[in-house]
This record gives sequence, structure tokens and C-alpha cells, in this order.
Amino acid sequence: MVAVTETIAGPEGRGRYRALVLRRLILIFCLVAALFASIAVDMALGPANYPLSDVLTALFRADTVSDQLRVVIWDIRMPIALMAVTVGASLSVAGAQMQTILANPLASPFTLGISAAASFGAALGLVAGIAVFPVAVQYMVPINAFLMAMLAALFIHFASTMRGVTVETIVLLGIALVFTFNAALSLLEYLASEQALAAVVFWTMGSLTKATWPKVWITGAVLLFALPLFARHAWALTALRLGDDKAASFGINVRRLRLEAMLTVSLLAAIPVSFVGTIGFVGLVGPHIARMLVGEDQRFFLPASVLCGALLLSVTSVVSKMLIPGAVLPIGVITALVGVPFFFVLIFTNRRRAW
Amino acid sequence: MVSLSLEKVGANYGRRVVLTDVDTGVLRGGGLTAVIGPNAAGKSTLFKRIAGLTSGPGTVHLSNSAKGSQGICYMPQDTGANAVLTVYESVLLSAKQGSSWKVKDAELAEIDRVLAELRIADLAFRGLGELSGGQRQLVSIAQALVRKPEVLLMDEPTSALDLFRQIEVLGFMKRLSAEAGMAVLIALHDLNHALRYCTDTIVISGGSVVASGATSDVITADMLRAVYRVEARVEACSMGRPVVIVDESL
Repeated sequence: MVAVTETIAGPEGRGRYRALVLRRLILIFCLVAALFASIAVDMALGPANYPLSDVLTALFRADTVSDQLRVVIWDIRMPIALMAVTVGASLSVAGAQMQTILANPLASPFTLGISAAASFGAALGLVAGIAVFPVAVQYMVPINAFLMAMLAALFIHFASTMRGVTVETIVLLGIALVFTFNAALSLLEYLASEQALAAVVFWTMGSLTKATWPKVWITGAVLLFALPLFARHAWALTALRLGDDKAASFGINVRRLRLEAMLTVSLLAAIPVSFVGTIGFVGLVGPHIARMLVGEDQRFFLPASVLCGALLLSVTSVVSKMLIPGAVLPIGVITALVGVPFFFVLIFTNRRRAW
Repeated sequence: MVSLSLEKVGANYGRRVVLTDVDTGVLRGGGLTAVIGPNAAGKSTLFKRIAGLTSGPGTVHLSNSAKGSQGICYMPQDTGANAVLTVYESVLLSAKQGSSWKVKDAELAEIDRVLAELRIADLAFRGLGELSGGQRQLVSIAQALVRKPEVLLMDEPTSALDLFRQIEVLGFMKRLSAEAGMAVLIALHDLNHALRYCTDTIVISGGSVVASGATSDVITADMLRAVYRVEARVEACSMGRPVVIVDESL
């Protein structure tokens, strides 16, 4: 019998691992570069198109450009461009962590009913003038959307902590929530006036056009709050993908980790949806693209999810301005149209398992 | 050398009592202890209870341990097949829990060593999803060993391995436990493996211990009849080793 301790000739793992890490870092750097390019193009396009050089000058030497260009770039287009980035990143990270903690490739803010709940909340304000939280009535629509989204997320969360509830059950509950809120939304739409109906339909399509600096700051701040939390648990979150028993055997408190992650994810999913409406595709597919590019080690998967989501929505923002000259199409409509072909290419050309 | 003993240990899942009053003598490091019993007897639950992954009454005594309860490592039956991770990453993951993002050369060298010892270095950069059940079991063993446990609880580690790999892994674990002074408890279904590799054996049935002690004293025709409901003999083979020969089920 061959002794087990006898080493066999094989590839030197250390060197190959270091090479793998380097390849992933290069990929992440490429995503960062592509994102910056996309943001610049996004800001160059609009009712008046500017050359990229003018945009860059306005960004880095604002005092040397005309007041008009400075105002257009800094006050009008930059909030929209950065809103695309922060919303895309937030939804993608939310989807990535939902998929991780629920061990399900279909988990995302959209498929678990969080977006549908937000739409219903917004419609309550737009159609019936009902404020779920009757303070700051001028912000009724986003506050309604946020509260309903949090309610749905917390429902999903508390259901997941009940004994005997499996991750498959959670996804089924999420799908049930989607149908419930969609039915309630349809009822509101049926009863709505023509004007209110148009407002609801526009809201549910998702749009970046109402982006303002405060909204960008809030979305960005939530993202900056969530990312270090996830980063701190990077090894543990990765281990969850090996199954609960295995993760627990590594010394991880699986229940507490899932609770912490789910609460953070709820916030991360609810805020952007309440500001920009329903954008379904990014939270589901952003993480899958990241996973195909860098695998599921969260040290790489987390930044890659941020970048893939941000890039996906930023490119979509560019495309939404280019499809019909002079018109900005709702970004929620365009997201899937832009993302699906790219996603298909990745699925059919990627020889490695993606889930 | 580390030693482990259980005193009136039990485990509950909600209101359901799965394990009651498990007592063992002192299980010393340096050898393998088989934990045997029919399906759903409570073997996995016992391991989880010892590792602190489930709660219940009783006390787990650990002596001469440098790591305390941190030195107890439970190795579940399988490792995730869906994760988009390479074998190498999954073993690194086990070693790095609770530590920084930075990976040192020494940590990678340890992974190389463990994979080479288990003769799975050629699988290092294969995805977990591409592996067979047996290969995943070997990866699971690597994940456990890289944590340098003092007490290792292996839940049916050979159930998906071919005969060659079963013999190889059990021989390896026997030698490793002797070299490292590690206490290894192995849930096994193959009683001939228990007779050949394990100095002690604990028999669990219906959530409690029905026999424990030196393997050759515990695995007897009477025990097999009472616990496994089979008519069997324990005889010496041509090489003088005891083997279980099953005649019929009762």
C-alpha cells in the first residue's frame, strides 16, 4: 500500500493561489476603471452632449470651465450618475448577501418581495395619499416605500429565525410576498385616478431623474455603513456557502451571523428602492456576474459585487439616454435589456460552475 | 496528551430529547475511538453536543488541552457542493476563520502540506462542485486537519470513499492521532474498520450508550444481535485479526 504521507508530484498550490489572487485583483481593478469611464460618459450625455475632455476638466479643474458647464456637470448630472452607482452597488451587495445567507441563487431584493412592498408603499402615497408614517408628508412616497420595504424585509428575517423554517421556505415566502404586494398594487392602480395611475406606473419603472445630492449621500452612507460589517465577516460569510453544519464546525455562530447580515441587507435594499423605485435586475444578476468573475471568497466577491452592480446601473443610465435621442427612458426598464445579453454571454462562455 | 470524558451528556432539539445520559470513560489522545450504532441512533448529535453546537444537560470534560473547547473540531458528513470555491480556497477558509484578510505564506504552506498528506494536491484548484462525494469527504478531512484540532469528531468520514481510500484514510488518521496525540472519535458503519483501526468503541442506540470500552470487548455477537438485530459472529481471520461475519438479519 502507498503511504498516505508520501507527497505526490503536483502543482505548487501556494504559487497558483497567489496567481489566482493577482488575477482577481486585476479583474477588480478593470471593473473600477470601467466604472470611472462609465460615470464620465454618463455625465457627458444629456440634452446637450459634451466632449469627455470638457467633463474631465469640469470635474478636476472646475474653476477653469464656464458656469453653465459646471452647474450642469456638478449639480444636475453628477447626482444622477452617482445615484446610479450607489443604487446599483447597494442592490447588488444586498442581492449577493441574500444569496449567501439564504443559500439560494434566486434571492434578491426583487424576488423576495422587498421591491414589491416598496412599490405598494409608494402607491399608497401616490394614489390614496396615505402616509404610513405621518411625519414629513412632503417625503411621503419615499418614506412609505422605505417602511413597507423594511416591513417585508423584517418579515422575511423573522420568518427565517423560526424553528423548522428552511431557506427554501424563505424563498417561497418571498415569492408569496411578491404576489401579495403586486395584487395589492394592482388593486390600487385599478382604483386610481388617471394622473395618480401615471405617477405609480412611472415610479414602479424606476428612475434616476429625481436624484439629488441628499439622496446620493444617504444611499452612499448606508453602503459605507454596510460594507465594513460584511468585510469584517468575510471569512464567515464565505463559510456559510459550505452549509450551516460546516460553518458551525468552523466556530461560526451561524444564527447570529445570519441575523446581522439580514438586518443590514434589509436596510441596504430598502433605501435605494425608496428613492429610485423598482429596479429589479441588478440585485439578482450583479452578484452572479461577480461570482462568475472572482468566485465566492467574500474578500473579492464583496468588492466585485459592489462594482458589478454599480457598473451595470451606470452603463444602463448611459444606454437609457442613448436609445431615443433627447429622451431619458426609465432605468428600471432598460436595466434588464442591457444586462441580460451580457449575462447570457457570461453564462454560455463560462466553463466553471456559477452556482 | 489531551483526554476527553463525558458525564451524563444529553441533547435536545426543541422539546425532542435526542440523547440522554451519555457517560464515557476517559478517551485519551493518541488513538481512534469508534462511535457505532444504527442509523438515527444519535451519533451525529453526540458529536455536535461535544463540539458545543447543540445544547443539553451534562458535562464534557477536557483535560491537558492547550486550546480548550476551541481545540474540539467537528467534521460534518459533507461539505457544500454549491459553493463557487476551489478546494484550496475552502481549506484556506477553514484555517482563516476569525483572523485577518491577509494570507501568510506559512498558512499556504500548511495547506499544501495537508493536501499532499491526503494525496489530493491534484484537486487543489478544482471547484467543489466538480468533485465526487468521496473527493469532497477528503476535502472535508483537510478542512478539519488544517485547524490542528486536539479532539477531532469525524462523522462518517469514509462513507463515500472507495475501499482503497477507506483503508488509506483510516490508516492515516490512526498514525496522525498517535503522532499528534490527538483524540479522534469516528462514527463508522463498517464494524470491521472499527475492529481494525480503533482501540476503543462506543455503541449508541436509541439516544443512549449501550456499551463502551476496548473495541474487541464491545463488538460481540450479543451486541450485534441486540443493537443491529443481526445474527453474526466475530472470528479471527487468516491473519489473526478479528472480523465480523454477518449470517442473517433477525
